[in-house]
Parts: sequence; C-alpha cells; structure tokens
Amino acid sequence: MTAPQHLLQAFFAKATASFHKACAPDVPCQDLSFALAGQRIRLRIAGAEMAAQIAPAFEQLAAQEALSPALTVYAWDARRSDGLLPPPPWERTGYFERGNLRGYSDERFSLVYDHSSDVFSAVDCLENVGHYWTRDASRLPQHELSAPLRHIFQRWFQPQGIFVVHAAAVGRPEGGLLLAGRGGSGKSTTALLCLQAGLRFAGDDFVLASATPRPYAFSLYNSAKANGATVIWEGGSQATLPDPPRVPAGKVLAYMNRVYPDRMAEGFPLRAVVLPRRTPQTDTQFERIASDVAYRTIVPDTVLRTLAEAPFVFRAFRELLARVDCYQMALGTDLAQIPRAILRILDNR
Amino acid sequence: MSDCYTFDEKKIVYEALSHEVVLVNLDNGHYYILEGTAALLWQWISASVAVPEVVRAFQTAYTGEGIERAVTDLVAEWLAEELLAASEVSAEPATRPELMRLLPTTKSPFTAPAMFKYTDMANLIQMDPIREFDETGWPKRRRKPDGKE
Repeated sequence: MTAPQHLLQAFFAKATASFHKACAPDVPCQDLSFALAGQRIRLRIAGAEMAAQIAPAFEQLAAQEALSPALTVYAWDARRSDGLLPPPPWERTGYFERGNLRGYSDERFSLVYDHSSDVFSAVDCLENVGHYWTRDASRLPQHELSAPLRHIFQRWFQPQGIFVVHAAAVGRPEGGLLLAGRGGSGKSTTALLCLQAGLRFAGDDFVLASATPRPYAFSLYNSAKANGATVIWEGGSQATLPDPPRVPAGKVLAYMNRVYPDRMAEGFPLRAVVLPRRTPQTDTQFERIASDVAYRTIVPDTVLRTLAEAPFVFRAFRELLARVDCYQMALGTDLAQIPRAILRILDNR
Repeated sequence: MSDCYTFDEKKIVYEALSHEVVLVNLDNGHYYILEGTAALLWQWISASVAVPEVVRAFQTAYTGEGIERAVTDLVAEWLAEELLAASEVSAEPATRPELMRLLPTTKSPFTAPAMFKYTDMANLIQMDPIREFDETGWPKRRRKPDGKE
C-alpha cells in the first residue's frame, strides 16, 4: 500500500519545523558539509551532544560548504520539549514492522524507526531532505555512533545504484577490496592491520558500494570497532577513544581519521571481495571462490542489516560480486602475514 | 491444499544463482539455501505454476520415483515456514519457456530437493521488538536488563 503523499509531505514539514524549534538560541546548531560518493551532503545538527555523537564518524569526508547540497539532513533530539517530533501517520502508510524496525518506503519517501537505537530516520528523495531524530542523543548506542544515518543513505543513494554494504574496505587509489563477513570473522582486524601496513582505509563496518559503471567502494564512516587487545591499537592514541562509559567491555570504538589522517580514502575501484575467517593456524592462506559462494555467504548478513531496502541490496550485491574476484581467506595467528596476503590479492599475484 | 502459490515480495527476497537459490525471510531473519531440484522447484512454484503441472514437468525432465511426493512435501514445508502463500492467480503461459529452460534437456535422475535453514542472524532484527508505545505515540524505548528504559 502506498501512503497518501500529502500526509507524508505534511509530516516532513512538521519534522523540519521541529528541527528549527530545537535550534533555540542556547542550543548550538552546527552545519557540516561533506562529500560522499561524489555528492555534497549538508548535515545540520541541533545541540552539542548530538554533534559530538554523530559528527566524528564523517570527519574524513569534510568538504567546503556547497551552495546547493544534493542532500540536506537535519539531526536533533528531544531532550528539550521543543525538539519533540510527532510520530509519522503510520496507520495510513501501510507500514511494515520487522522486529526492531517499523518502516515505510515508496518511490519518494522512506521512514524507518529502529527500536534498538531509538532512532527515527526519514528521507524525501524528491525534495532531497532527510531527518535523523532520537529522544536523547546522549543515549545513542555504540553501533549507532559508529554508523549514523545509514538508513537515509541506503535509500537516498539507491537511484544511483549505490548501496550500503556491511564490509570493511582497504586498498590503494588505483584499486582496493571489500572485506565482508559477519561480526567476529576478522574483517576489522584485517582492515586495521592493512591500515597499519600503509594501505588506505575507506571503512571498517559499513561502506557504500556500486557495481556500475565499475565496481567501486566509497568511504562512509571512519569509525572502527575492534577488540581492545587487538594489536592495531599499538599505533593509536587514547585520545581517539570515545567517552569510556559508553564503550562495552572488550570493544573499542575509534575514529581512524584521528589516528591515520593521511591514510583515509574517499574511495577506490574495487578489484576483489575477500571473506576472512579466523583460524587457529599460524599461516594465512587464501583461495579464489565462485561469486555465487561469496554471495550466499555474505548477502544474508548485509540484507538483514538493511531491511528497509533489502530487495535492491539483494540484487545489487550480486551484480557487484559478479564483476570482481572473490576470495576466502583463512586468517592465521601470525598477524604480519595478513596484510601481505591482502597485498598479494591486490597485486593479483 | 491449493494448487497455486506465490510469495510476499515485501517479506521474502530471493536470488537464483547458478545451482541454488538464496532466500531470506525479512520478517523473522531466517534465511535458506535451496540446492539442486529445490532451487528449480522454488522458481516454478513461486511463479504460481500449479503443483500438478510442476509435477508433470519434473516427471518429464527426470527419471525416478517419488517426484510428486517430493514436490508436495517441499511445498508443505515452505508453507509451514511461511515462505509461500496460496494464490488465486496461476502463472501466465508466457512464463513457461523460461521455466522450462531451467530443467535438464536430457532426462536425468531425480535427486531429492535439499533445503538448508539458518536462524543464526534472526537476533539482528528480533532483539528489541516494538511492543509498547508511550503517550507521545512513539514506541517505548528498549529496556535495559535491569528493567529500566
């Protein structure tokens, strides 16, 4: 069922008005401009807490302010009553509800409420306006801090054939690869070892990707999550860690732009997709696999993290995998071998 | 049991690969790998071709016993998993040539359909289901283990 468009237009107008009300004289409003997948995005944030929470993940994409941004996203919270947002007219939209999510999507509008983070994201793809709202920005969970606004980007970039993929991306300006797999497979460890070894970093957990006109990965976030004991942090700085009380035991969230600012990549052409998995063996080994094998291994993970736009991602991912080389990589305990193996794949040796 | 079936495109996404079908139920996070004849049968059945016609087509393409039973059992399993629903509409004749091309051109031994179900990612979407709403109309915030919002 497609919702009456005037209802959603009216809701978006109310939401924008709510943002402007939240920008009271004593609530700083911060405008950020960044370049994402070749598009200029303007992020307007009300409140210092919200800015401190979500802006660091995009620092590597900072760009000069554009007179006409391709997309404007308003971000605010409701800790002051001025910031309250009326709920969307769900009952008249034919919404879907899937576990944590309640959402609605048509050719123009996409609205998603995520219960796990208490975040409401909405985008009007005709007016190129997005809304990102939560009741209390100070309570955003770590998984949201590391990858904010991804529902908005997933929908807004869709007409351009660009989609959010659950993967890390490392490489060189002339070519790189995606490291895909579920949590715990070793993709973060691999990505950060490669970063230490001198490769460019386009993302740790979610990146934008496209299959056409050529396979390409675009940096989306500079955040990285890894086990605190990971060797990666030898070169890092404690200053990169967020407020300690929000860091779950054993995990750290860091902004790699602050650790390796000269190794951030806006993106690169994709040459391969690598599926790492941890093993107890010493040596790291890799082998080429069919794209179908890679697809069935990683697509459920990405699709179930991007529920609102799942059918599009399901097909776009297949097209991407058909156009790159796919490998599985058994990660050994001799960590120095891991970036060398990645370099061999990039060099096609 | 109805003769024709379809699937809800808002709830079920699938992709047919060379020798298998990957299928995800977006409502509960379960996903499935259908191999061999199960992959072929999904493409026939989910296209709303009537079951008796599917059975006849497979009996023509394959040798061996038990094809009809295998098809009806698999359809029953898909219904139980809520992957399929009965359809009032049967497949257009124009779909047949494409479906026929999926079947072997020379008669081959029938192998039992194989379906593998995975539930290991269901917690991604089921960990904080929306159950209650507050006075503002928004879902109540998730509760922490101590019961606080």
